[in-house]
Amino acid sequence: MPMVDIKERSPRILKGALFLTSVLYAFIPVLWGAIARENVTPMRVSDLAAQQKRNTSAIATILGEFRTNLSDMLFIKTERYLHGGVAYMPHIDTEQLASSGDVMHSKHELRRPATSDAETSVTELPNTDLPTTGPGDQGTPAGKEDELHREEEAATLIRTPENDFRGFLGTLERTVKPWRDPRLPHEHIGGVELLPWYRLATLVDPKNVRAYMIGAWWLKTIHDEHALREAVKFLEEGIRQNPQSFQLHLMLGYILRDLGEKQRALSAFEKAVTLVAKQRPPTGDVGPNWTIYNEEDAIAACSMAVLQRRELHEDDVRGLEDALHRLRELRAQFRNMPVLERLERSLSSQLEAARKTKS
Amino acid sequence: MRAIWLIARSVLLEAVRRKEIYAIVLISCLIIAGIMSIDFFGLRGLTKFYCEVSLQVMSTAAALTTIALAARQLPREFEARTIYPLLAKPVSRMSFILGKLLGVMLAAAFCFALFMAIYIGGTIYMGGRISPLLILQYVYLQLLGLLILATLAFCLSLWLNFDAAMTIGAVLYFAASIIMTSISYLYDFVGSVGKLVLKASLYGLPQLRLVDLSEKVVHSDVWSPIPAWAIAALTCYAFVYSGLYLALAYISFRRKPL
Amino acid sequence: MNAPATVVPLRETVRYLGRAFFLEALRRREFYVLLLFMGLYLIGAVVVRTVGVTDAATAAFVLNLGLTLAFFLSHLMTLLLAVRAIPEEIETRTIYPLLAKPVPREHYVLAKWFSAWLTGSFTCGVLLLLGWLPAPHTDALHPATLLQAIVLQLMSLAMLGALGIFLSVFWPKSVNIVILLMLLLAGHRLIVAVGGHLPDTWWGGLVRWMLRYIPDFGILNLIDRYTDGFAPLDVMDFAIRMFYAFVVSGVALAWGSFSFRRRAL
Repeated sequence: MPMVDIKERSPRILKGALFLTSVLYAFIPVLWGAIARENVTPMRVSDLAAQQKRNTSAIATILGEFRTNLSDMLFIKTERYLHGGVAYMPHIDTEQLASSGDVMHSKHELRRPATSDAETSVTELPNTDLPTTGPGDQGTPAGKEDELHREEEAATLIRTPENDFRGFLGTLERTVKPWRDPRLPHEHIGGVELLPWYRLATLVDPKNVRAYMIGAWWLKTIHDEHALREAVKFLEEGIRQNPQSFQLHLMLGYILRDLGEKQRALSAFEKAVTLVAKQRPPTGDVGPNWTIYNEEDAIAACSMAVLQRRELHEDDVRGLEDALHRLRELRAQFRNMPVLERLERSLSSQLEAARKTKS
Repeated sequence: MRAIWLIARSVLLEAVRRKEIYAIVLISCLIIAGIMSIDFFGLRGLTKFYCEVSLQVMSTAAALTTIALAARQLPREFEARTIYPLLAKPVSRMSFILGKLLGVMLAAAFCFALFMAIYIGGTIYMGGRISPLLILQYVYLQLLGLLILATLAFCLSLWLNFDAAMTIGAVLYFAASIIMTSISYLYDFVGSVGKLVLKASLYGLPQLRLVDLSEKVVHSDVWSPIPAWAIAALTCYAFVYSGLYLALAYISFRRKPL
Repeated sequence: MNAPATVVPLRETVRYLGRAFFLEALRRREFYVLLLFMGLYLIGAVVVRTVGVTDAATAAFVLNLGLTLAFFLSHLMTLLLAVRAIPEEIETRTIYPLLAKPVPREHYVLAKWFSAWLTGSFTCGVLLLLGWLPAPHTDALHPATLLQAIVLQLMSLAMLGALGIFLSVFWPKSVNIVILLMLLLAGHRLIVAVGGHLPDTWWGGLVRWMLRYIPDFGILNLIDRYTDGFAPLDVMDFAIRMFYAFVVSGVALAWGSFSFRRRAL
């Protein structure tokens, strides 16, 4: 090795490097702040349809609960917890779950299971005769009372005895792991126990709107004032982090209504309508940036902004008049929302009846 | 017998004295405490999350500790040349290996007992429900899994270096579930040769997924303890694999030039 | 009169020690581990090929998994090499003839760091090829984003290596491994989660500021950005991230060298 005389120079260089890097490191929080501002929301969190697809794929099935992303992991946790740990092939439509709290199977998108009357989809509100309750209000408290759903067969990850080539190892696996014969009715267990997972997901990624939605939904199903107040706080945090998400305002409105805070609920529904007006395509056509669930939630926001007005008035006629007035404004504002037309017919006939009763 | 016990005792004492086990338990508890310090809406009784996170952290820490302890036992004796005075005494090589294995398993059991005490205390504090028999079965099956991992690490440490033995043990532990699921899933996709390979892998590799009862413990509100015949079958299953690995380790150890 | 002391120049030390370290790593220990990792990738590729990939979302998922594993395993390799590079030489007493050459201690630290980084980068390159080539690709992905992701991951390896060397001067190996693994896996989440929920008071701001001193590997990870089909970062943003890694690595190496110089062997 060649030798040079640098013995004296070396410590001075080291001291210089020490000083320079330490001074630069003092300002590292500034650099961090500059980088964090540039962050974008990963599509894997925001694109719900893609999440459903990748998590129900063969590769994802093989990987079980192994994921590189907490949002994807939540998808699997939701499946497992709702079935008491039984590993079915992923089939719960979490987009629907986020949108309305319905525990539905992805095979039957937008179709309600025959016996699933526990939760009412917000999209059906206008069809009911002036509903006074939000989604889930007629349901049993989740986590307290389980419900059985007869669903179309969804295979389990563990093979059935008739279809198993593994002999005694298969038998042992079915005994050690949570397993139910897929031909038996699926046992849907309340998702309240999932709440810590959703809280964790929002802490790690505050842009995960769906986690705020489903978390607030499960809190709502507890039917307890403390839980409802917590849901309000949770949603307010979500709105601070995602001010453009109209679904969060809609959900906040539902929960405030349950708490009896009618005026605040109306404000939340109206805020949701304002955001819908900015985000909805003019004709409401479904596309990559505007899903069927967005449209359903937009309809729900408009409907609730109308119906909530009625509840503000003690006099039914005045309430109906106010609601109808707002409904006509919304019909003029939003094209291609036939549900509002039906709602107008329903409200008009009720107004007529109310006037007759009053006179 | 006495020789085996003396060797086992020295392994256990060394593991306890080095304070590694306490450090691992402490770090694991800090991780769990850190996660549980998050305010989960001030609701009581949400214990499944705690159970799942705790059992995952604890079983992972116990498995990695056991693999590391087992993988370093034999090579270190050679490196430090402490094996020569030992084998000069009337101690057979089989007794030596059995003593080492017993020591590693006692240390693993000690580590796991500490974890379980903390886990049960935590569950009771959180107002959760405990199924004692299910917990006992879980601990027993975990120890069977650790026995397989320890004997495998012994065997590998005589053929490969510490890093490789540790990595294979860790991969087998972390991928246990994926290995069994993928064999089961892929079976329908492959031809007759593929089916043969998959069946060979199914029986050739120890399926550690079978000795993991954690999912039933987490969802113990739905599931009851498993029947005695399953415990007996799993005991035989674990003993077959650990016996095989121990025999291989013994053969390699006998052939190894001192 | 004393003759001027002559020492081996830094370039020579790095070349000499780096080559020895890299070759030894590949010949002896890490080669087995690397082979194991490669075997895992090949099995993964066979599985993907067997079950097939039917849609773009799953293709992105598989690619994301492959790249994440490649980067994680190379970080693991760098970490294990860095935390034991100096302590092992002290234990086996091979450090003494080296320092008697004479090689200044700061040169020795730099050479060890460079060697760990080089071996980690080599692992990263091999696994990246194995992870990227068999994974299904879609047209929506930006090659420039991949390039940025790779460069930043190499910087991330450098940062991890430097922190490993720095901590190894003070603490035992196992403690350093746990600390750095936690930083690698949860550091970014911790900063975001805790920082995002602090109140807007003076002390909340102070804690938020202090949290940002924790080395953050998450901001050097662009895998999600690439597999989600986002365009590359703009030049300024990319440069800031590079500079961040440079500063953290620099301060760890400078303090590591300084502390190692003062340490009694």
